[in-house]
Amino acid sequence: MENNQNENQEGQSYNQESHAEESSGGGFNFRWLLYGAVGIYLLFKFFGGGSGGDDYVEETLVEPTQGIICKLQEQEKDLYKITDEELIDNRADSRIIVTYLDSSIDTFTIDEVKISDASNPRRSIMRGVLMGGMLGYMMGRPMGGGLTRGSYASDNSYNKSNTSGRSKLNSTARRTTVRKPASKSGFGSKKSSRSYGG
Amino acid sequence: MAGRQIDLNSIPTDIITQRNYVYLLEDDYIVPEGLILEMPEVEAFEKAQDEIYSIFKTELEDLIRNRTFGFLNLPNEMIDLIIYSYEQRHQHTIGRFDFAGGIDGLPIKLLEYNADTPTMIPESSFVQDAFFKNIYKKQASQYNSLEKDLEVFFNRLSISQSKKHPSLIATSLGYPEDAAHARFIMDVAAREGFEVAYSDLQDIIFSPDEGVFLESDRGDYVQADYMYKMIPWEFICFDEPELLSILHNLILNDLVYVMNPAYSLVYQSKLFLDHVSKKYDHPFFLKSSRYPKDFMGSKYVEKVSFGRLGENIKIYDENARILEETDGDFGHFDKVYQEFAQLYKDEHDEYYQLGLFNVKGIGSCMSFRRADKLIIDDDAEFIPHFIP
Repeated sequence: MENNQNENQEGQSYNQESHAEESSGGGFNFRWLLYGAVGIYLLFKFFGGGSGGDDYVEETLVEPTQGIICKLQEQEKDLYKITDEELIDNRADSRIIVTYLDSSIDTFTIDEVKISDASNPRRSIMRGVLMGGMLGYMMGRPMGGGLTRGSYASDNSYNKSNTSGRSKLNSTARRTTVRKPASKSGFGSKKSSRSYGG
Repeated sequence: MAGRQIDLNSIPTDIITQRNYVYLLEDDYIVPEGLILEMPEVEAFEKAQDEIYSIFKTELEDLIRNRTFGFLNLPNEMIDLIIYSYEQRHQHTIGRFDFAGGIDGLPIKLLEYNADTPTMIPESSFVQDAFFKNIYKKQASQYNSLEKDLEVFFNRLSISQSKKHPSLIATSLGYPEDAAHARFIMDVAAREGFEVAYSDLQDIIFSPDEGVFLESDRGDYVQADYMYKMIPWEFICFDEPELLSILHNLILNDLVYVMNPAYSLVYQSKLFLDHVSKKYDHPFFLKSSRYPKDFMGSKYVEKVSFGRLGENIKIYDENARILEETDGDFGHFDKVYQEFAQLYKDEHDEYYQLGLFNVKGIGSCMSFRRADKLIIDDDAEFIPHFIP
């Protein structure tokens, strides 16, 4: 009985506020992705081959290994365009250099741009533009897809990235074959309009 | 007892917003009022919870021993899962008994057990706690250790299963309140070291021979050891039988651990409640029957074996005329009839129904829902309690 009571006396109540601060929850992190990859490898090892031929579907993941220095320019208020994308050797050295309307300059990493920050709506706007450029391939967009002309400031900047830029990035990309377990999904897809709690 | 109803000057909007449960602020569901409970009343409710859970467990063991599940009208694969999940001691994460009476001398009567996908979890735990600590602020206590008990639950689950980096998918069919409940459990598990993710059921990949997966942003697939579902087992049985077959294979091969476990569906079924009510002559059980004729001359209630949110309920008077009824989506399930139970009614003619949560079958939290009608359904208000 005593254990269940939430006493309004100092020292006897647990601090839920502190839990609230920790309760960000959600989202697989990279560590789990790694475990997943290892898991799939093990599944392949143990279940793959002759008898499991129909249990998997193979997919090739293509990831850039080179990095990009991307120059972004604010042309009107909150209207950003890519003026240049230059390939560099190391993906981790990628940067976004933004020139604002007032001529001030900011530099971001890809991770910084990817973070959703309600107090910084500029990043969200930039993210949308960058996704249409070569940098988008480093932010989760499949490398098979083309670039978006509207993300670029000019035909020259677009053509440079869309021809030689893409070609070089593609030739140095890492290709990994993953085996997706043959599976079912889509259960309950028409049943979201009411609560099923009790 | 006079003065049970307390006017509070506000509701804890800040913490509700801060923790992102803003749906609770809609439709005046949370109101600045509370209810006083006396300690003997609390103890009596807890006694009822303990005794009833013990009876349910004993009777489930009896069904498993004798393989007498026929009256529950469940698919064979579900019966396999019920037996396996109980025999493998899969833990019953959380359930909620709904009780009538228990206040001002009214007898405590079990209305139903929401053993599978109980709702009211965020408001009963941290919102009620905030009412108590930040608004009521008097020297008193509250029967509420729900969030802490869930943390202990996931801590022990992780230890007992010897998983170094346990992973959990929380899922629902996507309705905001259900998704919020799944996320609540997910957040608790995350604090105890689980790798977690939320996904609507339709986006989860079920591989019949391998396990449960989500596709990551990078295009590869990550597997989850555990799944907490705000999706009723009976939905899986009757609306998605193919999913039942897949889960049958996955659970029986220990490729995923599902919460609440399959055996919670037995506890959830009104047919099971009807069964135990007849078998055990116990003051907390209402008289129950499969036939309305057994209630000739007295008030009674018609329910369905798997109803939700107060839907598909009819209350009849002594002359078998309908006093109150609710529509719903569950009218196709088996009918069960219960003796009418008296809810506590305040001076404003509002009715109160107690929800008593348990974690691993142990009492953890009490809270009330209030309505100006006899059937406490989705339109009810949430009322916190305080124990002077």
